Amino acid sequence: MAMTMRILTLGSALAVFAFGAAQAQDTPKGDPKAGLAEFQKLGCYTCHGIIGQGTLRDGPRLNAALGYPAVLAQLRNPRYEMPIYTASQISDSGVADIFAYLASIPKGPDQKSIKQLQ
Amino acid sequence: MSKKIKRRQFLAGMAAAPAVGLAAGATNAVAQTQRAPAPSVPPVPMTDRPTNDMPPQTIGKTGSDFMVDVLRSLDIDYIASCPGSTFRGIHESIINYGDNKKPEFITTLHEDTAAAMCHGYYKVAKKPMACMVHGTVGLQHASMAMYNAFADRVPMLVLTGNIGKQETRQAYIEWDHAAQDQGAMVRDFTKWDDQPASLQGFAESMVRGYDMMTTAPMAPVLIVADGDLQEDPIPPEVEKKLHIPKLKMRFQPAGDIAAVREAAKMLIAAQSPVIYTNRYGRTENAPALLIQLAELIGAPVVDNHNRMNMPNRHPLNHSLRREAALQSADLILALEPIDLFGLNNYVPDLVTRPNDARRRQAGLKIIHIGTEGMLAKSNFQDFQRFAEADLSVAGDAEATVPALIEALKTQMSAADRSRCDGRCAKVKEQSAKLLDQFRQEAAFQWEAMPISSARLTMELWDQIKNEDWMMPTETQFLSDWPYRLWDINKPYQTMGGSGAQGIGYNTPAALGAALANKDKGRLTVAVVGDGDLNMAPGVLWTAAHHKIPILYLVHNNRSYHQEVMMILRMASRRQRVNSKNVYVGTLIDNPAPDYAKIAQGYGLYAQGPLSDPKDLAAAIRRAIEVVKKGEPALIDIVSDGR
Repeated sequence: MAMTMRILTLGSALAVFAFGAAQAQDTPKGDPKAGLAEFQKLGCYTCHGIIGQGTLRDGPRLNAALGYPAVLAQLRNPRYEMPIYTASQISDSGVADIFAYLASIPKGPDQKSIKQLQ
Repeated sequence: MSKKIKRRQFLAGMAAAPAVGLAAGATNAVAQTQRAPAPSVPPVPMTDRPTNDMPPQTIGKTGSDFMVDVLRSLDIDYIASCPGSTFRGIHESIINYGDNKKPEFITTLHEDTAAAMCHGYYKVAKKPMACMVHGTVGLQHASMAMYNAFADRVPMLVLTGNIGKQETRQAYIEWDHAAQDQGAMVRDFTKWDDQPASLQGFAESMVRGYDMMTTAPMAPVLIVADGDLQEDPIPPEVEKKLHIPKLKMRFQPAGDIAAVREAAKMLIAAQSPVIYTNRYGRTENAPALLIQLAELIGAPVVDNHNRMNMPNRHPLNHSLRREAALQSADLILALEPIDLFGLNNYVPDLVTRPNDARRRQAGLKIIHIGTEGMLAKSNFQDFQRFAEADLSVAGDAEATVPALIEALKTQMSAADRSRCDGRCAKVKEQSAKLLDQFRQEAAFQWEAMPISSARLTMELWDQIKNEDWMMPTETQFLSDWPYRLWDINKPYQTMGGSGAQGIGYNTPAALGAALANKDKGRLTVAVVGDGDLNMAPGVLWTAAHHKIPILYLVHNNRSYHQEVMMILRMASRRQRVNSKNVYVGTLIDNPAPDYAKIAQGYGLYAQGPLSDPKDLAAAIRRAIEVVKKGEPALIDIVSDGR
């Protein structure tokens, strides 16, 4: 099925990155792997990109530095044009999983180290 | 018309096969025919043959031969078409009478492709291409591409055929393909159409149509070629009088000089002017003129990219800090903006679609220079919402800018010049940091899978940056990475979008652009979505058949991604996003089409599907080698949504 194939593809993407970023103490512990699944299932990736890199018109870059409370607040009471995600669609622990997934994504190499970007 | 010479006589029957008495070169006269002896075994029963006594061959110059003369007089190099019996006369004349040169017949597998190729071709060649479409059915196929071109104010010469006389139509099919008024189908999105009833009328309508469609605001023109006019020989007495009118030298309509002087006065008085461009660049002179204007008044330019308006890395190009620039403006000079309302207002995609004003300076003044109001039809709403302006100058913006520059130079005092120079220097500083910021954003997604649009875009850039390249496709689905990180500095390297956002534009329009680039020796690189390619995959065959060099990169997100987002948004608002059906109807998956195989089937060199970003560089290098040899190539790249 299409969704399964897509999740498998994203699973490969996840394997590219190490789980490294520490989470703040006031952040519920989440499961990055489950977070990726939620990220996929809810369609967050469609506007924000598969690693939350953001797209120019549809959704800004997602950054764990925003903090879990801000991410939760944006989902529950969104600003701008983002759709609302109530607890019936994703629980607080599900949000924590997504946050863990975002926190697991490394910041990427320095742009100066990539020849094609110069 | 001579009673002895009627249409389609060449099929009149073997029993009446003539001995042709036409001397070579005697095309100005209808030769006499002689009866040949009847064959002993007729090929068809006698009772099935027509009973008229007309000669079975067309002798002398035909109406459609003259139509080809008219096309040549208009300097039409190419005519794209898939065959249809309503224009078989012109078709035959192009390939035999005209020896398939000027115009050359470009075979397509769909009329939408033929029309969209004309769209892309014009934007590069800066002169129209023609397409020829079947009566009724072909014209309906072509109509979406014609609508795109209309909304984009791009000219194309559309020819269709029609068997006008009821009594000469063959039963059944020719009735299906005939219309009382072919133009009615597309009249809402053509600039003009005509159905001339004589060859002289055809010549005059073609020249008139060409003149009209290439005068701003430009748009497609439809000419209906009557079947009898095409197929019948030209009676000598008619041919003697035929005349193809000379195409007059054209100048584009510029704004009224008094209005231009007023605009200059307002610009000089402004403290923080901003120039906004969208469909401004009509010729390759446009970017240089715009830079001259922007530097003169020290204004940042916000470009919406619907034409090649300004080099993206010019320090006065502030398109990538659009809102910040516009929020600082006390005056906006809008050059062919298309959507002036949307520049300062918006309707957010929220429940009930509330209207909202963007944050702008109190007392903001707006000068509008453009042709939008000079061509508006009532039905289709591409004219956008009405917007207020303090000064509206009706005229082609590019044609008006030279006068505006002169008016500014005349009116500016030394103090004004000094003030504008100082502002110019400050504005240039503001854009300096953007490049590094975007490079770091691209680095963040460099290793992502599915392959990110930044990686796809920059791997391509790395291999074309030292070539004479041109990219004819839209970039919004690539998050505009080319505009963020490429160095787009030649006045022909981009050409804007579809006009009406009709999907299926990019793949064929890019091929039309590539046809024009082929004549100029440029490397054409097109990034097309899988949804777009699937609308007209037969385009690939045309590329291979005519050996049109183009590199297609398929940005394959295996979906109609815009609609994925739309449906998810609807479902979220309605608390149904967890539904198992939420992706029904928007994915192009299960099975995932193999675009490399499809392309290979059409005769292209193709690679993919590529899923690992590390494979991109080598694949693009190999494909460019093929394209440089004069062939099309395609790479299927499994990509992130945007």
